Amino acid sequence: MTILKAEHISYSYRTKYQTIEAVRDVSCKFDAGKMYAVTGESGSGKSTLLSMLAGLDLPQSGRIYVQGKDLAAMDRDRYRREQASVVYQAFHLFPLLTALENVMFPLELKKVKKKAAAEQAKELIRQVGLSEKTFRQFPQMMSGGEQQRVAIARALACGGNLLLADEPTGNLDTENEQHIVKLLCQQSRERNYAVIVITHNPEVARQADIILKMRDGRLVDAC
Amino acid sequence: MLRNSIRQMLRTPVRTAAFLTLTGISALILSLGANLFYISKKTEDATKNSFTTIGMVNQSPSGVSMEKYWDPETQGYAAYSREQYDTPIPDSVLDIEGMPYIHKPKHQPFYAAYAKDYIVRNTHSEVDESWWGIGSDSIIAEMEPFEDCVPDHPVKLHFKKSLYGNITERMLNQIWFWDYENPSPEPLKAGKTYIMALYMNSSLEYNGLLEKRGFEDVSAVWTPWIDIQGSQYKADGSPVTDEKYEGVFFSEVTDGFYATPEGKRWLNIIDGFKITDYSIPVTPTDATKLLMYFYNGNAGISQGRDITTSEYADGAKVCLVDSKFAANNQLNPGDTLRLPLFYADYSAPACRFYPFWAEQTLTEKLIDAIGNRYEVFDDSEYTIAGIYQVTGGVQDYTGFEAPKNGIIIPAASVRSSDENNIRGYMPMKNSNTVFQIENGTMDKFWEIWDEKGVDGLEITLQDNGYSELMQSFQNTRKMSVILLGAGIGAVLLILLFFCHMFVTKQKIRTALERSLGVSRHKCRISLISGILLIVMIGVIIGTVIGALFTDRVAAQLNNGTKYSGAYSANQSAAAENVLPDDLLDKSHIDLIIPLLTGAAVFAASFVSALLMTEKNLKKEPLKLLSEIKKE
Repeated sequence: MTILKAEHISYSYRTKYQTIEAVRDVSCKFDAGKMYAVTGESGSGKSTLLSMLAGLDLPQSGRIYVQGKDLAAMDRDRYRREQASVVYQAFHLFPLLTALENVMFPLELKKVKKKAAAEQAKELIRQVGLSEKTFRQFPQMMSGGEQQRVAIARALACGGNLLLADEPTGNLDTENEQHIVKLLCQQSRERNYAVIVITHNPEVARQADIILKMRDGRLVDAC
Repeated sequence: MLRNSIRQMLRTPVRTAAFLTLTGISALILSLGANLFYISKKTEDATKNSFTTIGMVNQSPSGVSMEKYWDPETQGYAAYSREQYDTPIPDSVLDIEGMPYIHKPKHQPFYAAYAKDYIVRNTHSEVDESWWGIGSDSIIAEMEPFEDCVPDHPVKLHFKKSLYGNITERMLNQIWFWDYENPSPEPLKAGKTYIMALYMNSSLEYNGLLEKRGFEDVSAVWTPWIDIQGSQYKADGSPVTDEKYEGVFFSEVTDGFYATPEGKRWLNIIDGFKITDYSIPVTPTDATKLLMYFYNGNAGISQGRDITTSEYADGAKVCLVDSKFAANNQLNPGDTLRLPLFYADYSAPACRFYPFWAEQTLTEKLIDAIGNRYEVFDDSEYTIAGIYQVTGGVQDYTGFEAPKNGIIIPAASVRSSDENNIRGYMPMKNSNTVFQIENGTMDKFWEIWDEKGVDGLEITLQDNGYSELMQSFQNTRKMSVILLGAGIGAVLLILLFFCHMFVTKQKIRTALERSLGVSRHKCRISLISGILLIVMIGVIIGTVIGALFTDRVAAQLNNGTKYSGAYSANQSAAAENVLPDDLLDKSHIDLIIPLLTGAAVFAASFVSALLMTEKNLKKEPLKLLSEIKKE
């Protein structure tokens, strides 16, 4: 089932000296239960594409459809809150909230009661392979791998079917990189998620079901 | 969202505590400044209405003349000095352009009104005519010498008939008489009858003059009392005199004498004395506070109301009545009082002729230059607006005391001219010429006076310590402005700094919340709510402490000058009366000021936090995160 579909989307922005066409006429679709890797050099437009797919920004031309509905016509806050979640390279957890509170955050946004939210968050933390001792730990007390697992747990707490990750292993050592990639693959299959991973790491890309290559803002190849 | 916001603030306890403390301190300073400013402003406004700045005018004597008199002790002439005045200066010369007058200087008389239908004495319900003359030992009577004599020493006279005063009970049928201050007394003939105005001069015995002159066997000697010259002045103050009767204190009574002008003159004088005891003093003024017994706090309205400004301006027929007179005559506010005015006196205040403390009114000659009695020149009915009570100062002998049985009326209510009924006149004096200027304009007054002042006039300004009080308020105001400025500055700096810390620097939090689907509005609430809660706590603590400290600080700032040291010794008691008690209560703050101060700080926090929030919320989350990466 196609969860997300982009049709001829383009995005450009102006700097002080020039106009940069970050994404040019890109069309692609993402199905549930599959993991996608978007690769390309720095500045090829990967992150801009992810920003639009995550509903953080809108394409200047073209359309993005979420399960057949035009994203431009949708409540994008709600889309991000309930369907698409993002995992960042630098983890980006709330620094002043514990691991448990970070994972509870999207649940509380969906008005899940505190006790139930805590139970669900604990279960998600356990599912990403972290022990109970991390529940009360603040991000700066955890390793990079642990932080990224918490970030994935928080993304899963959104409860949608689309997980976008921007260089999720960029700040991790090889061992942790393997664990995270495995975790993302596992989520796509077990939870029937469409997982889109932005990476320039060929090892990460290799484990994806489909690899999309970008160059100069265009999608040049799909394997 | 609020819980998360507060939770995150509490996870940086040092920063949050510093924010709370500094907000509290700045709110305290701001609250203190605002309270002090408000108190000083409010008290100043109340003070402005409670104080009256008046001026008194005094025409200086143009010189001193030496007057000679016969000294019966040395049997030679002696001299005494007497102040001399040129032509009286009219009050219109003080109508100087630019003067901050509220009430212009007006040379005011007092009027006497017939009050035959009213009780005018305190201890006797009615005037007992048999008492006339006894109180002052003064008589007008017909006398006859036992033998031809010249009264340059005590001589015996046969008392024939009393015309004024009752001496028959005491003096039987003869008295000692001595024209002792006259170097060449008129001879008296045996068998002739003389009408004389005499008083029993007990000082001759006390001073030992009788003994010194070898009259040890003589006692209770009567000497000349008054002459029969009339007392009348023109409106410009110049006297209307008939020198023919100057010094004439007795006349020979022949058949038909009382039908002659001189005889009528005697009868009119006697009638005048009797009328005096049935008269009451009426004081015209342009404002109640221009009367010194009110100004000094020695009198106040005890029933009814004061005469209003418009009633004074319009010359309404309303009056204020002395409480004793009102009580004796069962008069109440709303009742009417008929005031037939028959003479005006510009020479002295009413209290000199109608002493508040005395049982009796001083007897004065009430005849004009040609010997006629003063007739009523204005006769109106007045409605009693209020009753005033005299509480003190009646024996100060300053000329500013309240008179007995006093009636106060708007000066403009007397529409008939008193020009033919002026019995006494003195140039402008403190006791008869008072004006009012705006509070706080004494310096301006003197500046203009120095430039355009009138020679021969002395002005005394008096504000009952208003200037000193204003200085004290200005000190408080300055301090409050400094505190306000410091408070506002501190609040702004603290808010900007901590809003920057808690909002602008929260890029990760903002970006994450947005990327997790928190709407801009909720994100705003999330960022601001914690700050506002801390500000609210800080503001409440700060403003409450500020309010508690205000009274103490205000007292310190006003210490020594507030209401006591500002007055000269003779004014201090009066000033205490002038200041209404509730004025002191004005130093307490109203609840509205701490509330407004708190609300202002709260609003400033809200606005600054909101503005800073917008900066981050405008940016898309990924852009914000990329900025963090660069930083």
